[in-house]
Amino acid sequence: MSTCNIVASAVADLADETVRTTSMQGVMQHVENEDFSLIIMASTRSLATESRLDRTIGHLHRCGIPVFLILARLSEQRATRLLQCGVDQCMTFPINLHRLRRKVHEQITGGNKAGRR
Amino acid sequence: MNTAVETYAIVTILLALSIGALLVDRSMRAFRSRRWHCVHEPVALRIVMRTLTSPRLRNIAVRIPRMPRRRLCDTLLSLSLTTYNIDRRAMSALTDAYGSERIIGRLSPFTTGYRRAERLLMLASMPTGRRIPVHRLRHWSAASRYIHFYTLMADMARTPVLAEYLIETCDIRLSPSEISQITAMLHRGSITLDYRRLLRSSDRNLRMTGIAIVRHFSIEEACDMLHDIAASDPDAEICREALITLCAAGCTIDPSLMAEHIGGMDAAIRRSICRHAILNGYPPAAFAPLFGDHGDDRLAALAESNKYTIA
Repeated sequence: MSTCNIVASAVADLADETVRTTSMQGVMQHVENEDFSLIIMASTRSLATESRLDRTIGHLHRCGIPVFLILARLSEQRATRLLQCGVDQCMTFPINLHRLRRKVHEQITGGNKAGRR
Repeated sequence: MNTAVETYAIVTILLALSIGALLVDRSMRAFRSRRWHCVHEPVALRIVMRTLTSPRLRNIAVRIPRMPRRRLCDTLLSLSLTTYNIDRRAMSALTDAYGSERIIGRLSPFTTGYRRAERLLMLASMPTGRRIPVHRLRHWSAASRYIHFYTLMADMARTPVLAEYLIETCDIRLSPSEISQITAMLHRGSITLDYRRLLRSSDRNLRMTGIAIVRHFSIEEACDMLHDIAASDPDAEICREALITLCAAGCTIDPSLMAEHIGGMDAAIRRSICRHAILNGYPPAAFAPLFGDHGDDRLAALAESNKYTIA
């Protein structure tokens, strides 16, 4: 069972919006055509090369889409860099489901959607 | 002649039948796998998540629909390996409602190899586990290292108060990977361990577990104890882990205190310690005493070749 499915099912009932799991390439394709309230990137492996991940996050940040990142391992330096690139929340596995749900709920209900495309 | 033809025909028919059976079996397996991924997995996850996030657990057994017990166990296992601080009452209500633990416990002695190890891991991640007596788990121990270790895990999950004793009496030398699984178990709240007692213990497995806990939770109060261990423990592996943990925590290290002790160890271990120290930003001069006269050049080259991420 993939960790993405676990994360998706954990936040599925929080809002009326559709929850979709997709690959990294899929995110970039969908972002061009659809409006997302939130994107959660989760991986227990190395998600991508650092520069590619930074570019993707930077692109999402410019589009005004909040990004949560859940990785297996994250150093303090790396976390700082990702936050500067535009990540809204950085977490590492194992995750606290209640904390994740609370953060997602706060982001979806308290976020300002007016600035998005 | 006729007999030879008949024999040939029979052999051909049998061969065709066996190939046909093999193909049918393979397609059925693929069908079941697709069905699991498309139907059972989302259903199992939805049920488990709804139960865990629901504030009212009273009528849980009534509300949840039927599904294969094994699927629920797979889901609970995946969930417990990727999350922590789950409501254990909710999980135990689920396993009670489906009788999953009983089924896994009944099957485990009859399986072999990795499958038995997997079942034991499932039992270790089940929230309530006092229905299977501990002495029965011990009978499942086998020659396989995996089974041995996961029996220990399941045993600890059943009797968390005996976790320290069980690690101490374990016959195998726990590897760093296995110790990290025990630390993850501690992180999830399945067991409780006092790192001070572990660090003071003379047992190798307990001491390594204590060091791993200090590193995992970044406990700065334990730096003095780690210093003492690095300077005096005769086991090179424990010394190495203690020093690496000190480096990871960013503690002040006085290598002159441990130069004599660590200087006599294998060169590969000393290099490993220095590599970790430099990765954590320590200057090469701080660890030069460990290498003697010719150490400076090597450490300086190592420090220069290391690339830092500038945030």
